[in-house]
Amino acid sequence: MEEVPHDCPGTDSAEAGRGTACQGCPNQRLCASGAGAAPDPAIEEIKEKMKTVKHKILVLSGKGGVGKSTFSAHLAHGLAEDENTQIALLDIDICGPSIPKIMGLEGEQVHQSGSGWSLVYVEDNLGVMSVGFLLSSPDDAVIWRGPKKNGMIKQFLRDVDWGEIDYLIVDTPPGTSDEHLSVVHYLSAAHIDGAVVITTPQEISLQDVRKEINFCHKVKLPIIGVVENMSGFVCPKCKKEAQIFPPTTGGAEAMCQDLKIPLLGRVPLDPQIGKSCDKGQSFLTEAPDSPATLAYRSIIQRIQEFCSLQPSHEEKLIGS
Amino acid sequence: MEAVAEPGNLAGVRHIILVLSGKGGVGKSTISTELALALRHAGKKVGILDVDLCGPSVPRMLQAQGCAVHQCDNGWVPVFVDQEQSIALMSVGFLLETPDEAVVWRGPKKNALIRQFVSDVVWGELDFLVVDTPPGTSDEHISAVEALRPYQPLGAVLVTTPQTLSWPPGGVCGGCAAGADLLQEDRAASDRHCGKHERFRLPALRGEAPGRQAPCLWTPSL
Repeated sequence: MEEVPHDCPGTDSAEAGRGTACQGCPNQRLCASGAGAAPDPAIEEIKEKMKTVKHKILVLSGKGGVGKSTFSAHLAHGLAEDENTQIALLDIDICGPSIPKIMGLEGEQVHQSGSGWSLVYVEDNLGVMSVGFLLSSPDDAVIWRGPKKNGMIKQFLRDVDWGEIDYLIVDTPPGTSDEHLSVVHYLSAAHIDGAVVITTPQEISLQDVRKEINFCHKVKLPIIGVVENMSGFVCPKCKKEAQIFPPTTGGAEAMCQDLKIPLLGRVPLDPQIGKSCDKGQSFLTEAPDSPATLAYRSIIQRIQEFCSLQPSHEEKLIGS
Repeated sequence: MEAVAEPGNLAGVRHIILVLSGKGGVGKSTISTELALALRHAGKKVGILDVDLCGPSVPRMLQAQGCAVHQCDNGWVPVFVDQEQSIALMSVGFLLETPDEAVVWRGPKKNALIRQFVSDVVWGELDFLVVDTPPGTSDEHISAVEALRPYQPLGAVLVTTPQTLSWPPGGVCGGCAAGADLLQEDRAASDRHCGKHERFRLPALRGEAPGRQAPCLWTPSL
């Protein structure tokens, strides 16, 4: 497992649980018993469940507050505008689930059927799952340590009745920790198309996003590209552009050139985006002429093009 | 199992303040840094403990990237950001081999490091220790609060931005010492081109902290 410390002998090593580096590790007893080396049965179960899901996209960022959930929601809305495309949006930000609010689904509850948990539908072809639907009040805090969060993510992937889905979008919290490791781990047999990494132009964001990109490389997660959010603000009065978050080190463009990763696009700041998110409406339909909407649409198209180049569903099934 | 902190290393710290937010990107690290600088300006000796292990921002904000952490007999020596040693800083950022190195750790390892930061850093005599946290309400927050509880933190400053999506859940306050005050960051931009002060204000649909007595401390402009 990639999440073990660098001085750990490895959970499937003969020294697992027995090496000097293992002393004091919380998993020492587990590794020494040999349980760490056994494959997790949930991975196969999830692989089976994911056979009806054509494309899986993770939305990541090392940095908080750059617009991952906003982007995930609008990616889902944009893709769902084609009524023949089935979209699912999975929110694995267990501690700060924003997706229910952004999608206008606050207060909704998850229902269970014989085939598993049902998605909460915004449109006929757009379903959502989030821990937010399991809370009795939107103000309840989920104060969980890693193992409990991991269990929740496993349940989401294994127990939700996904059905036939064209795109599964997974919104993640900031960072490179339990949630990210778990979703990559549990989907390891199910093939993730790739990750969209969100940043804002300033170096304080980019330094965390570079870490996230390194995480993707570490866990062999393909990167679809980077989206630079909050990239400039156009004054509604004089139409001139100002940089609210100046790209002092060249912004995402310089980072992408440096790391040889595609820059999918730049989304400018538009106060309407925040308003739409707070109201639970799609910004794409509320402000169809905004430069931000045009940017979103262009980025969504590039993501679709990337996914269309991936091996087909049947090829993946045959390959596995 | 809770670690028992060595009383020596925090015995000289008079006040501990946690800076929290459920939401990411609202300005916790910025506020933590500005708070420390303001306290220093007021003649206080300050420490900053950065427990955001996956995204440590404070070293860069204080231009201390690349500094190394040294050991002494009593533990780790914090990084001093100035000659007068008026601000001491500890962050996982100082322990990384390269600035782009990702800290890809699960909860238990993060918890262990946070306990070490609390117990093994030789803070010395400080008026204030500001604890900068990552977004969320998970391992880092639980571990930091548990490890610091014996030292009776003064309280928590909650940082938010005006839009409703950022309001921290009430449980965040329940997870730390009593006396949470709300600090609201109001974003306004002066438009230089047309000469008008265009208040680009992230719209707030609610005008106050919902459901609790939380005085708004400060609304800085962007």
